Amino acid sequence: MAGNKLGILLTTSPESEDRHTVAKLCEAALESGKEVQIFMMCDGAFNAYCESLTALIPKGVKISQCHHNADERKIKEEDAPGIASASQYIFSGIISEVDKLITFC
Amino acid sequence: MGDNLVIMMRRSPFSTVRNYEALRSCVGLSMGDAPLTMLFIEDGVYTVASKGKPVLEGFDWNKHLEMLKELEFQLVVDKQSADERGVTEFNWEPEVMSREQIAALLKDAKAVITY
Repeated sequence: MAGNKLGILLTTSPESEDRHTVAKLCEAALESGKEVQIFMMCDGAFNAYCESLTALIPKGVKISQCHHNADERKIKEEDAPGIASASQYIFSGIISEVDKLITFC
Repeated sequence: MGDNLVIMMRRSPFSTVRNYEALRSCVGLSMGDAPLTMLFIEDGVYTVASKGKPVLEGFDWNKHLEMLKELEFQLVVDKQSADERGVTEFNWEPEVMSREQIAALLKDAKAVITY
């Protein structure tokens, strides 16, 4: 990968194998010195409850989620400590900022 | 590689709200700096078919398409997918492209988000 910043869009719920793939991908990216940002939307917002992903936050992964989708699913900000409540506009900023975007839809 | 962002919709809009969500996301993303293209391919072409009426109450995707059209973002339909499904009339005046043209569009994109 040419750049140093990786963006990940996660829209699938925790039942999907995507959760595990994203977690392992993040770990590998961190080990190789990459900066990682995850944006969760649709049912992906439910991953806010998954320790395999939230455990990455102290290691440096930035996670944000669509406020609208989280609100639809009754996920409160206090239920997801460390996860930023964001908008699609913020997501557009993430896309601009990262060198590579990988989507799990 | 350009700055263009392509949102590719592959699924039928009649059995899921994901197309609606994808278009809602597009409206939000349109506030960013990157040029945006919505691509309707495979069963996704029903989203812009003139006979494709929203069936899930509260999830009329046309309001997002209207907004995106007013903002003059590019709507693209895959000709092969439309032909295979007998879709000949469209809402919101999308540009009908060949697979070769679409391949060039995707090749030039900074990111492709597939729904």
